[in-house]
Amino acid sequence: MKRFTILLAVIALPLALLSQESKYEYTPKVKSRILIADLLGEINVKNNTGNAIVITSDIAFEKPERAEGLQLLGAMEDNTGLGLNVSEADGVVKIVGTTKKVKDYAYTISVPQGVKLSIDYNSPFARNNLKVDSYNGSLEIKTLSSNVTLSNCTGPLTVSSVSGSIEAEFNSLSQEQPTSLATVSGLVDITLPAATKADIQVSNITGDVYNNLDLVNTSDNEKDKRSEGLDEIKHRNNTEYTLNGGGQKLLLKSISGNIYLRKK
Amino acid sequence: MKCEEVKINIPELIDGKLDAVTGAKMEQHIKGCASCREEYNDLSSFLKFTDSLPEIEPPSGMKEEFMMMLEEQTSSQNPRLIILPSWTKAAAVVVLALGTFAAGYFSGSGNGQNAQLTAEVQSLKQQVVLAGLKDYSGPQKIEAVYSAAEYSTQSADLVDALMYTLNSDKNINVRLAALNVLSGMVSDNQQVKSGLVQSLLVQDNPLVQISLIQVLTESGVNEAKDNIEFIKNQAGTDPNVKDFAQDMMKTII
Repeated sequence: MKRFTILLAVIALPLALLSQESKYEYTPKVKSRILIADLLGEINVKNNTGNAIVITSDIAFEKPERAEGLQLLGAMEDNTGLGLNVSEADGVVKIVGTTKKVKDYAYTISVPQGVKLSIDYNSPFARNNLKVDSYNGSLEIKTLSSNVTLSNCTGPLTVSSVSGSIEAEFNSLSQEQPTSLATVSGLVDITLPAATKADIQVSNITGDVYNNLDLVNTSDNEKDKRSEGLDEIKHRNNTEYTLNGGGQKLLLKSISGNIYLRKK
Repeated sequence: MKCEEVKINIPELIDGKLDAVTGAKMEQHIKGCASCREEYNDLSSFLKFTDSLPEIEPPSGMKEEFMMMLEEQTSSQNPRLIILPSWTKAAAVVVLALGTFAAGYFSGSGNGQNAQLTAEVQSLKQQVVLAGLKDYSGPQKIEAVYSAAEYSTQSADLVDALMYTLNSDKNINVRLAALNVLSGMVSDNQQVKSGLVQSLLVQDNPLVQISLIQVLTESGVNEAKDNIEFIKNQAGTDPNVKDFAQDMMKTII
């Protein structure tokens, strides 16, 4: 029995260490903008009701033994204990990775409501995907090949990617400012509540568009007298629709991926 | 160092924003790589050109005034607000300055004219909210691009403004919005047409490149042929863009 307990302890201890999360909190002096850059690990973004930015991570980064007494060259100081540098200047809080190894870890970043957030994930070395859950507020994301998944969001958002897919499930669509989702070869998949008011612009070249929303085509096809009674076949492939009488702009673009529009 | 990595960082290199080690590595690579060198030269001559444009500082107090205006606008029921991107700062200040100057100049001759000018200056002040004072998010800028297009007729200033946004905004979605608005003007505006053809040489994002090629080829702008060819043959161009350029070239006679 004693042996078993020891065995259990030997197995459980590293497991406990592995799953240990480190936490860092920062309260911005000005609640305005947050910029996340050079943080190529998995990022999960949330809102919180407080005033502080709360970052948790499973990071277990240690300097190699060989680097004893040496500093990371050209890197900012890790002032969070999470491999990140957090600084604030001119109303912008910057969260920046201090070592290339941050890409091996997962970060959950919870930001106060109403703050504008930009995430620059536009690196060929970003292997992970971005997840945003229950985020109400202005959000800008740029990726190269990473997928972006947004759930329970409201926007306004701008997301652009080259080969990543963009999935967004809206609770409601912010009527404050437009939302724009664009990718080259990834898919765009959005889910909207049926009663959402929006002007939706769908733009694609070689992909298909699937939809079950009650869209009304409003592309201004000027008809001359001769074309009366005939349907237009060719029209610009920026097609504009209104949903429930129209509202804020929702711009969707994929060059070669499919676009999916769903009713929630 | 790989070409892609170098190309992504060329703007930073030109701006001197890179650390010494990376900068040196890049310079070394550019010396030895014809394609990167070409891109570097293109971009640096373009940036030199934009830098040579006169820069005008907004008068003191403008920021405060601007913030006040913004507050008024956003608190009203139906905000009618144009936030023009930062490049218009200079242009708008010039317009304001000219307006004020003219108002002073004409003040001796006939009150009617003076009043009219003052009114014009006023309405400009109300409509042109000068951005570039930071804190503008991508969605706000997209809103500004579309509302600017709704407001104004196709003035040269507006086209310049949109063109600048298309060529230099950091947010790709904002660039796409500017292109979208410009694409509606391409068929009957020579300035837009030549601006878009030139823009082909500046864009490095595949989304913008493809959208731009699409707009130009679908509008039958044959002058774009050489520049599309240029993008297609560039070593660093994304394969999606190359394929698309290849296909769309067929539509240009």
